[in-house]
Amino acid sequence: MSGHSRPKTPLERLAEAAALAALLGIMLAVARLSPAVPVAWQRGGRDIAAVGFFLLAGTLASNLLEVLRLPHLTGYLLAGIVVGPYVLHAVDHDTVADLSVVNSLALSLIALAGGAELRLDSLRRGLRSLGVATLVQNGLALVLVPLVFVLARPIIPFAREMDWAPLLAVALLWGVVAITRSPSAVMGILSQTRPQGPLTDFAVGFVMTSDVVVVVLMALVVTTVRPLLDPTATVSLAAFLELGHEILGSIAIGTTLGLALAAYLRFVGRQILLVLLVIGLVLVEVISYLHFEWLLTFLTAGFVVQNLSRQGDRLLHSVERTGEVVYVIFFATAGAHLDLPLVGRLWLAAVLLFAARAGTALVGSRLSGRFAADSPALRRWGWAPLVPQAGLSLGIASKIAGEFPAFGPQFGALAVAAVALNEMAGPVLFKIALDRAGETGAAHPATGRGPEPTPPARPGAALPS
Amino acid sequence: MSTLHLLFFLLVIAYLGGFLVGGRGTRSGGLPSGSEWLVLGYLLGPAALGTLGGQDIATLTPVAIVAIGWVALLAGLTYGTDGARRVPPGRIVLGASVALLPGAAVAATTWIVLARFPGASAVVPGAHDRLVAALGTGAVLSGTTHRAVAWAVSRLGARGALTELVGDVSQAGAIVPVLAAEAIIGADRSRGVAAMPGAGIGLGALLGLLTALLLGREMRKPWLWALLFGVSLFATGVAEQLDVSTVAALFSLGLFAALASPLRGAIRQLPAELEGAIVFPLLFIAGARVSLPGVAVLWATGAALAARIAGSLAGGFLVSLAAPAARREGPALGLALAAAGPLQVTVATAFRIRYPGPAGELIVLAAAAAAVAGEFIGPPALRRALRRAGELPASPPAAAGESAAEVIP
Repeated sequence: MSGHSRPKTPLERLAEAAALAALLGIMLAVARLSPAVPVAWQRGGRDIAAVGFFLLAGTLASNLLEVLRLPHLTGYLLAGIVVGPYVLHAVDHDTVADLSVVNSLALSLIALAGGAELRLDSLRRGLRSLGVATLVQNGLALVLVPLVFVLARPIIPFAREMDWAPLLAVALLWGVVAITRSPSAVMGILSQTRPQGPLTDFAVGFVMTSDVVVVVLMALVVTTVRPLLDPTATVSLAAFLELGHEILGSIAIGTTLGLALAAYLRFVGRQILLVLLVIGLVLVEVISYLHFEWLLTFLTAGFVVQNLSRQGDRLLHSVERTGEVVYVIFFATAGAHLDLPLVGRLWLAAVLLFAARAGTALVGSRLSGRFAADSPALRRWGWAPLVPQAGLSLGIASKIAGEFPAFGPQFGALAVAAVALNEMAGPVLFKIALDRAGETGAAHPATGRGPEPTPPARPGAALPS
Repeated sequence: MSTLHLLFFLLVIAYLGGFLVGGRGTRSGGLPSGSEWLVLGYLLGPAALGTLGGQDIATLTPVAIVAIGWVALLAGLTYGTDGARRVPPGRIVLGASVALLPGAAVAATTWIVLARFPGASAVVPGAHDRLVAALGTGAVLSGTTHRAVAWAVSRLGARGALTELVGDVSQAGAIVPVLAAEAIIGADRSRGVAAMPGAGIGLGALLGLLTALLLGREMRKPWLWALLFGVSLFATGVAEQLDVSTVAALFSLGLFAALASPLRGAIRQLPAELEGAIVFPLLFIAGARVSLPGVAVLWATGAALAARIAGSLAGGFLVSLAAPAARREGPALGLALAAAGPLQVTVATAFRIRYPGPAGELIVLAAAAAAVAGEFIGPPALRRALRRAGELPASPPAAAGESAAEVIP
């Protein structure tokens, strides 16, 4: 966001810290002056002020955290957490809920950018890595994470009294939550650091396509475990028919949208911001109304623009420009959403499940790296982009919770706690990985190490650097 | 109309607006003050065809508030300048005085009509509402729009001393409706919030100085965008919560940021890129908010328009006395200053949102009527005056947007 050309002086940092404190002071003073439950005329003002504050505070906090080499995204999240309803309460629950409207806009931009980052030639060269990693990572996560869940039964309140069959079912459902990744966090880090290399290509390819994998696996697992939770239930394949319709329809609409976007960029090329707003605010609703998957639709659209036209870079540039503002608000709002008291109550189980998931990703990365003969950098750091989780994970957890009301609320609460840890730690780990793999161009004064060596490329073996 | 349709429709208007307004705020098509969007909003609004219902308009209120803030911010950023040139202090005083004359005339006339004519009194019964209606109508009918002058420069190729004078006077007058809004809303305690006259200006000044401090000396475009968006939304939201004038807060923010920042050129130019995309939807929303609380209000509106013309003629006389370039024109120059534009409509919409009753209805009706009537009076009178002064070329320039016309809402 700040994208400055020279390092900031201590005085400039001080000015930013003072400005952040002043803004926070105004926000708190206004919150104290206003009634706890705002009257109708104050509600709009409260929401508008919160958007502005999140944008300013998130940006300033991220600038200040640059000193610690933390990703900007962490600054946005922290700003949201600190001013949100669980810490300083400068922004209340209702306002945070109202601001969720920005989510669809941010996620649609992320999906478009993610699709446009998937270049066919890179994908083709890294197909083996991606395929092997998808199989190994998801397979391991669906075995190891549920195993840890079962073993952690004594510290998971709602699982303690369960019989073995339902416990196994719930553990498998937890495995589905564990295989969700965060396209938003990955794209947020990429948008800040603009890295290039095999880890970057792998991260984009894996995380963007994981959306489809998760949707399919969720349908499969939910259908399979239902008889374990409800003895009267039978296995029905109707869900797969609906799923197939949803996926194919989304790809078809995405292709059409991508071609239309490419034509617009080629022949008109103006007012792209407004076109993106129409896509993120209006088209999202239309696609949801038609029961298609809008993330997949926009992912396809971005992919089509990048690979079937010459407008890919232009689209990426426009999305990045818009995203620079939208992502700050999106992540700060996500930070404000984090239910810290809940994380506090479930911290032991959440930490254990977080560690199990990260550990699984690490083991999976080593294994798949060996099978696919990946580059050392990818073998060493390929797990890091798989750690972040955010809104998509909570969405999946919420869907599962809705499907099984008997334990749904407790399952959802545990998911919030675990996702919170992944949301905070994941982006930091991914940025460190990109720095250490030498793909951000950042020097490493702490270690003094340069980029890790990449072996000579072997056909079909590894992603290119 | 569903919220989704409405949102799409507004985005389409914003899209068209972006094409119609050039990068420096100059119009490449449409009427000088953009009244066509106002009329379209009225026609589709609840008072005419009813395509937009009252609930739709209520849904749009936060969007309207944000747009009001942005227009006021633009006005503040560019206040006292004409492109790279600074408007001389004497002309700022002259412009503010000229704007004050029709404002005072309108306020007094509206008060008399509302107090003395039983039909009008019945529509706006309370003394508080009457006072707000009179002062608010005076505020929004004070001054003129610089757009008419920008239109003459960009579309007709006007150049010369009189063009510059009228431009400066119309630009400087923008401060009158802003300060009036601050005084009326800031002093009002009808919502149970403590009166805070001057708080909007103070809040804007503080945030404007903070903006200048954070911008620093090095131009970083993404940071500038984030900062301007963030600080304008923050100021708008805080002003709304404290029940002080959003228009005044944002105008003051823009003014102080531009005065204090070494990057004032960039911060004046960049936000103007969004001008068309914001002003036209706002005019549309304002049009949709126009309603007629009672037939008697038409009399009040008519009287206010007449008072505005009279005040403008007096203003023209004052300009001709003070500036040699206008001496030949005399009071008739006032007719060239009779156009009303987006800033007046913006202030009126702010009043309409703050005062949802008959007082707000009268204010926005008067502003809309002045904007539409001004299209027929102001630009032709200005053209006549400039032609007489020999400041119009024989053939107008081919390309709009090439001129150095200033960005003025």
